Amino acid sequence: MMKRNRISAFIAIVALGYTLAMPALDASPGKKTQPTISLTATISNPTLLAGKTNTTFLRISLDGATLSTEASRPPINVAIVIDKSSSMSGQRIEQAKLAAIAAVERLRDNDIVSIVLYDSAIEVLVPSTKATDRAGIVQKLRAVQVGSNTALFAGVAAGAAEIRKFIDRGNINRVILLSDGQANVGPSSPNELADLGRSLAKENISVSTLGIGEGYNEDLMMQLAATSSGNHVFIEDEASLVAIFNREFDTLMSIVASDIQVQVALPNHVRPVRVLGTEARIDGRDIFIPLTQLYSGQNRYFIIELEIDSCEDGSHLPIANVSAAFTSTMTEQRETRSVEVLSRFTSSLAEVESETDLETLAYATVLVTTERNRLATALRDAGKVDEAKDLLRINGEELLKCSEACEAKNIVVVVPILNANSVANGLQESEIADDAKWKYGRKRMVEFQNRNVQQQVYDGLDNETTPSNSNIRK
Amino acid sequence: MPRRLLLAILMLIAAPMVILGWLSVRSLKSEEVIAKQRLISVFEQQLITQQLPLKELLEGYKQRLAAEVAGLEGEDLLNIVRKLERDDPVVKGCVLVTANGPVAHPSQPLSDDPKDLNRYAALVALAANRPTFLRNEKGTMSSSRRQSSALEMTPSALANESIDPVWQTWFRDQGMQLVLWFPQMDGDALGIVLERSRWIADVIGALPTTPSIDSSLSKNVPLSPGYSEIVDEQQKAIYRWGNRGDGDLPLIAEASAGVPLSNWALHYHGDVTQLLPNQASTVVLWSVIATSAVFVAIGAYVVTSMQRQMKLASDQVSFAGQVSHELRTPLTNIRLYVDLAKSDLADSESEALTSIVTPRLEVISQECERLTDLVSGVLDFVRGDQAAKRLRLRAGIADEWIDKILEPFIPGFAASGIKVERIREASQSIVLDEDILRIVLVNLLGNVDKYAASGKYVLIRSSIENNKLMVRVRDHGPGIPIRYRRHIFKPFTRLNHAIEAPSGTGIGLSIAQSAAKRHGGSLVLEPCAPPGACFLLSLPLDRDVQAIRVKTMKGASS
Repeated sequence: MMKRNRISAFIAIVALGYTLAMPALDASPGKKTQPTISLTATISNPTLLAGKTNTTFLRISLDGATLSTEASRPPINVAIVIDKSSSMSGQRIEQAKLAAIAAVERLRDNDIVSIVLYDSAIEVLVPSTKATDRAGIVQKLRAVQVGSNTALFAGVAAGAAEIRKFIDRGNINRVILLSDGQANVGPSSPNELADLGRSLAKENISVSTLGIGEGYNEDLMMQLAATSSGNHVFIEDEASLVAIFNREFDTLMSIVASDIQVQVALPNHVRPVRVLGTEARIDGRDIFIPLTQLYSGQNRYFIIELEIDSCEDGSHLPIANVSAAFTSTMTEQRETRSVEVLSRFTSSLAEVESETDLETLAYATVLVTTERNRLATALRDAGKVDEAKDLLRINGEELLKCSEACEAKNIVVVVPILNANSVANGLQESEIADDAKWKYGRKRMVEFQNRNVQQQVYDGLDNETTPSNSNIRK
Repeated sequence: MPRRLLLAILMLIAAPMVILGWLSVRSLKSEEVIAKQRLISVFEQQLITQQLPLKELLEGYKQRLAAEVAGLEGEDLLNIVRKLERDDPVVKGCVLVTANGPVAHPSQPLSDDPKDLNRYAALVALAANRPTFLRNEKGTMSSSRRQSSALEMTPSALANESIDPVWQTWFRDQGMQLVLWFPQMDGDALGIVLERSRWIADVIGALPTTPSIDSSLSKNVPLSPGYSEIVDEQQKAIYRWGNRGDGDLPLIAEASAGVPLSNWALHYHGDVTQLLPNQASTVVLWSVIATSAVFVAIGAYVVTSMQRQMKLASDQVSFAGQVSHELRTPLTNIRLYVDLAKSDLADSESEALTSIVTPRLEVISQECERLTDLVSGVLDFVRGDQAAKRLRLRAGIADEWIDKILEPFIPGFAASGIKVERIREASQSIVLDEDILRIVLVNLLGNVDKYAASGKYVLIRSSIENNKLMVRVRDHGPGIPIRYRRHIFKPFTRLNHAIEAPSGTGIGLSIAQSAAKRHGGSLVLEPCAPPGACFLLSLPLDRDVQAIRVKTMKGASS
């Protein structure tokens, strides 16, 4: 049963990862001078029905340029925060040490690194320092032993404090948290950690959370990562820890822009309804979306649901003015991009339907169904298994329908992601009732939701290092 | 050695040791309490010092935010408020309340996002619950003092004058939230809700970290025996630092986290017993052991010296007994030959020789008798009560017996210049053991001759009172010091052990007293006005004597 489960989830994830990379690959050859970021904004209905209040989805898309080589990468400032509570004893702490050692050995002299350990208390093993004495750091890491409780909040706080010592907003500032347990000393609710992540994001510090095994609090770990736009990964088997850590550092070293501030200004006839999934601040008709970084080749998009007041037939009206300010890691310069989204109003319903931007709608559908997927998790938590299953079934059908529509119109770029999501929802539907699988299933589900929302560039089910998966691939 | 005596001595040693032990345990306990108190206050002081970085941290927020909003009004202020909300990591949200009530910021959210709606509702609720002094009806100033000074100032001067921001604690969502209120010039008030998770993170950063194991080892710094904690308003631990040894330890000291975190507390947990210095108890323990050893040594010394003294005393007694025993045979011979000499003289024709020698032989005979009494007294004493002889009761007149006993002393008294006064009030015929009377009186009179000659006076008064013969011997000598009065009847007690002191065995009065007791009577030292001493011998007559005789006969036969 377990194997089957893994197979399906794996397919979904591989497909997902593939699609995420697609737009970037498409975009890069088209342009002569390769900009760090290209900003595009589209709405699902470029042609709107006149004389009626319309609801549409605005998609803001940031495409990171593909870095040619790692050699020219900017320095990174990273704090590795490792849980050394008693549950980590044995293979986990050993693998964590190996992973951290491997990561440290990848650093360069002008990178900044700090290592924080926590159990019930905090131990700053390596205070924030230039990574020149990597051998010394590795030696310190090798001596680490496990303790007892889990002061997760303080651990992250201490990691962030180490980052802050040499912080540079334009640089890459990352806390990597590795934990397998529930926070039981200090603030320990997902909301509190989400608040911390939100605050850190304002300083352009992101937190990646790597959860090991079945014991950690996935809501807490996911929210911390989501609010600070870090990665969240569920590591089922500690044997893959080194590989995951490597991937985390791969992405960290491939960042093309940091300290990104997306701003959407809406005209008076447009009302913001909600921002799907992502952390955003809606202040009247201004929407601010903070993003700590964009990775090489990453297509990061945001979906905003808008309500547009009824307008006259034939009029052309602006819907949104979207701008993005960021620091390019290559030029180390602050840059801005901006685009304006317009729409045309018509009284012909057929015209509205034919002009629908299916690609934008497909991405919106992914996030809308993800929101529903979150609701299904909450329903399952509340014991309403049947309602959760219903939601997942609806999700699967809707995604499939959207996929078919896109395929019919030959918009193939979104088909894999829609299908992958449809399959994932279907799989979750079939397994959500099983109590024995729920512990892992929930972690996988939360990770899946976050990956959809964040368009995370890598995932925890690593096929190359997990033997069971690599066998399955063939 | 008698078992009871040994027990008594053991008790004597044991009792102080027990008391000492008890006292030292008590003092140890009280010392422990004091040390504990001291320790607690030390830890409290340490905790209080931790208030400072927290205060600095929060004061830092206050100064920084005050600088951001200083002197701004209207749209400028709103813009900066929006920017703070968006970009400042410490700021969670802001609320701007106008003097006459309405909330100027935030505005009702346009979106349907429940998070936005919740935040808006919370901020409006906060505005309604702002500190009362900010709700000045006139809407001008937070205090009348400022109001009066405002009248004299130009608006620009006013803008430059900073009005102190005020902290407010507000319970919402996850717990206590910190709100900074900035009273504005025009009576408006700006409330900034700090990001709880952020200031908690900074609070953690402001507090000490736990030293890493290898650094503490290399510096050879002993690890703190306990750990400190900061706890929130629900007494939930927020952060712990100090000892890395885990497991929960009892709380021993606490202090408030200081304004505005007054609802939070700093705790120190530790094992007090482990923290208390052990030297104190070991010192006390050793001193107790040392004192006990001293006590045992003293006890051993006392026991051995008592044994030696008792051996000495018994040696003395047996020596006196042997000597006395050796004296009896020559004495008997002397008396025999004196009697023979007397009978020879009676047969002699020489009238002149007889008249000269007879009185001399008489004296020899009397002195022999006196010596015999002394010797038999010593022997009686040495043999003890069991060997007490039967009373030899005879009828006679007490005054006559006493005069006869006194007679041999007259020449000696005369030689020493002692005036003898004799009061005779016992002229009745009585039944008595004359030997007893003689043993006692010879002893008392001998003592007067030996020790009280300086008084130059002796009174011998005999009387019969309540069917008892009372004989008082009073001298004007140096008397008996009070502290010796209880001891003079004990054997081998001598008041003056000096070489030049008059000779004596030290058992005279003991013999006298035991003789009087043998007769059912008593010999006591009677209180009298100085100078001198007064001894009273009282001997029961008739019936008592009969009873005693019966008793002694029984004792002898059994």
